[in-house]
Amino acid sequence: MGDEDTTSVRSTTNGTIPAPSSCLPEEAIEARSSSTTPTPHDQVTENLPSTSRLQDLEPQSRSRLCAESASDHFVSRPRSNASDYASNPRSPRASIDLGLKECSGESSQNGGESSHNATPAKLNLDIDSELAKSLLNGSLTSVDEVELVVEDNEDLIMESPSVHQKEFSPEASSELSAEFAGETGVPGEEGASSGAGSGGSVVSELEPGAMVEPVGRTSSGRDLQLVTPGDTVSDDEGSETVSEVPLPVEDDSEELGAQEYPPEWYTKQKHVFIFSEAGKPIYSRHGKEENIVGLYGVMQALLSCVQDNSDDLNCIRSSDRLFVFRCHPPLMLVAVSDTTECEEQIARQLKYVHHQAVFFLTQSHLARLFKNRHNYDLRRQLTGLPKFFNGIIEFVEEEHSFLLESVQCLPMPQSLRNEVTATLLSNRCPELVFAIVLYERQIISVVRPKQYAITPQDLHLLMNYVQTGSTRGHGEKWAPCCLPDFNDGGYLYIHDSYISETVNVSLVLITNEREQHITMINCKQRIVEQMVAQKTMDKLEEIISTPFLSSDTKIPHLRHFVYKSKSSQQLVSPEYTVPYNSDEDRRSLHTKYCHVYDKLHHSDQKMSIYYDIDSRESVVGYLMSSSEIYCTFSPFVTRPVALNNIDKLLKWIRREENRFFILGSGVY
Amino acid sequence: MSGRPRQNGPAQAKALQFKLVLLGESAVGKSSLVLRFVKGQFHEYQETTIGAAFLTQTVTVDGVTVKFEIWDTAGQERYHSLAPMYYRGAQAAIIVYDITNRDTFERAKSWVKELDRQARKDIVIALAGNKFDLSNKRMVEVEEGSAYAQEHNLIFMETSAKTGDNVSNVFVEIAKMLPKVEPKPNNNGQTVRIDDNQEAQNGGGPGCCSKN
Ligand SMILES: Nc1nc2c(ncn2[C@@H]2O[C@H](COP(=O)(O)OP(=O)(O)O)[C@@H](O)[C@H]2O)c(=O)[nH]1
Ligand SMILES: [Mg+2]
Repeated sequence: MGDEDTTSVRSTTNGTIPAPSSCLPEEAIEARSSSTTPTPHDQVTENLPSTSRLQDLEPQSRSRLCAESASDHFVSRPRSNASDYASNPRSPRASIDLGLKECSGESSQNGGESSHNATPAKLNLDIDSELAKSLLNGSLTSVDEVELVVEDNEDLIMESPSVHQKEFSPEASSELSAEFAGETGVPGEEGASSGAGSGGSVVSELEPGAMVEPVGRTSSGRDLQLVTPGDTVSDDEGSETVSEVPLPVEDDSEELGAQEYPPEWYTKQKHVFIFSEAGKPIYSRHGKEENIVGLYGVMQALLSCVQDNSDDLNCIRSSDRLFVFRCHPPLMLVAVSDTTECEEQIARQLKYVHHQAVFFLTQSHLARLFKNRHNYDLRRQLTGLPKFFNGIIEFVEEEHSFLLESVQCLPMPQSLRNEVTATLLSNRCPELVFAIVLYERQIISVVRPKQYAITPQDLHLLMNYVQTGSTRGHGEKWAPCCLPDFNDGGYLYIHDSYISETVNVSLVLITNEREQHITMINCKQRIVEQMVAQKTMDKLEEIISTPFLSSDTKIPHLRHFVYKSKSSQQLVSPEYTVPYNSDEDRRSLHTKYCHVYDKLHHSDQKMSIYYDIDSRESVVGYLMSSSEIYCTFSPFVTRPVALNNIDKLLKWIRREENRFFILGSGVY
Repeated sequence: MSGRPRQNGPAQAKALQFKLVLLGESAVGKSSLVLRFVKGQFHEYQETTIGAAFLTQTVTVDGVTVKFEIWDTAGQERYHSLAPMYYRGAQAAIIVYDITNRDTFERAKSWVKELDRQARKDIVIALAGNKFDLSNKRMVEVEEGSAYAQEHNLIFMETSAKTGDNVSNVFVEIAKMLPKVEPKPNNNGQTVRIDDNQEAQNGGGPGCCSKN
């Protein structure tokens, strides 16, 4: 496949889809930097020439910034083989690195594409603004053309010379529509009735263009194809246009729908939806699920019609929004974003959202709930939980540690950290599996058995659980929770409580025995008593009151940085300081880090350094063999100075690493 | 109020310790009752309990200091199977319903039955009809709650975590019923009236028909 199809895709889309700047391929960026297209911020890539100037940096940086002995990492990637759990193999999905770079290839010739093993099939939907309206109910008015990026399977690639033809099954669609219609019947559910209209219109809106190409196989003749603009109607008897599918379409659906959503709803930067495979609403980040039932129907219809082709819909790109779809059965997740985050990042965010559900219910329980009850309303199980979904979404949008798949430790003298760790270890009881001391989203200490590690992802979920579920003043919490990376099929039991009156330091004790609540309370009691006796808490409070700042490094022009040690999956980053005073400033800097990260990690072209320079700041990302660093300098710093300063910073971090990283204690 | 709880502090060596569990449908006000009892506070937007919360509070009854170790459980169905571990060893339970919601009363009854079957035989149970301040929206009459309580030998009170009415009374009444392993020699008469304003409450205030 490959070339031919891509070309045909290009021919239909060129010029009509302004590819978001964040996902232009390298070539395009080079082209821009050398002259042309206006972009949100000017970007400059340096490829080999400039990188080679950096060669002298490599050796030192590689030297040993983080190289502890392999056995020391407390966060190596575990596959839980805890013998007391049935291990629950999860189906591997290889969707992550597809899509974005590929679809950004639209705007330029991308020769490297055919070298990819699983080049995604592309199909174009001439979905006019009606679908877009259905999707966001009128909000995304400027969507004229939508590109669907579909993760293809190999069979399809080989079998179908024109993979951009996908079939909509009219049966499925009409079933769906019928379902919407059914819901319309529910009295008082205005949202549902608007949904029925929108649901109906998805398919029917395909119809005006209804020019159908022949399908190269012998599946049911009633298969309905997505339409590629410019294609012509074929004589193939087997094909039917959508118009023949009876669909309940309500004309007033849009007015109705328009009333459903308050104006703010449209301006949200990112929506996140969860629904069941049957299209039942489970969660919406903004607005009440029950008010947007119709929207769920549309999303479910889109997903299922692609799935009917044993394929997965990954992403739809409109001129101003990115729609990312992920199936984590039995949950379907969709993000609608107008941030500059790329598909891979959003897909990882959705995975976290899925993990958040697993955290409370376990994957096996989720599967059980839906087994034989396709229409199950999961919200019954989620009382009190939506705030945790909101919390994890905020977490993934804000945290460097999410971006870099690592954890951040609270900087402190090694002796103090050792004191905390020793206190945990000496009060450990046999039932205890993990003991963790957290300061908000940073780690103070982790104690774990030699054979089990805990991943950054699981730690992030724990941090969200502790922080979002904060019951300061309401005692100690005890709840069954599941750490999906550790074991997504079983519960662990988590005891957590604040151990300081003044700062948000909490102690998390994790056991695999559900009746050990009293044991954990007693264990906590002993730990706290020893900490009080040693004045550990006072020392921690002191540390927290004097946070680590970039000025501590004494490196000129350096405003902020994020450094990750790959082997230990830990990062160090100073507090934001001037000029990053507002949340918005911080968010925008974080967005730049995301962008630079994306360039370094998801570009076809291997780069080890990337500059993103505009009038506000210069952000430089630099990949090394065992670490990576992202630095923010004032905007007028020249590149040689920036590089020189990065070099100094790397040396500085290396000198101070005992403060920043947990280097191999806490294992029992 | 003489039954007023003291601030949480280092447990007195002498205090008798009792395990108490709160049970009842979600959102009836279990956490709010505990928060009122332990901290004297009320939150209009009380966070939903996940799993269970553990708190302690001491009261002095008849000159005896009693320390309650309180398990405030979550009412959601996904945690139902965990309930036995909290009530199994408990000496006392408060089963809470919301007087403005009939279903929660039915749920309370099923908790009573479950405890009859599964909990310690000598467990002291109080039935609390909460949200008394909303009695204009009442769906369960006082008489109904009180009759059920009588029949099953439960302490009964209508409470309001919001106003504080009867909240510590429930705990104090429970404390009175609990066995005092080391009974204090009569300090000042045997049956000290715990609550001075109980009369007042019985009169115009919340329907308080503490069995006993
Ligand atoms: N008006 C009124 N509201 C109450 C009372 N007790 C609790 N609430 C409210 O009812 C809701 C649920 O309370 P919560 O304590 O979380 O119930 P729980 O799920 O049983 O722990 C919260 O919004 C409380 O503010 C009460 O006595 N009166
Ligand atoms: Mg509660």
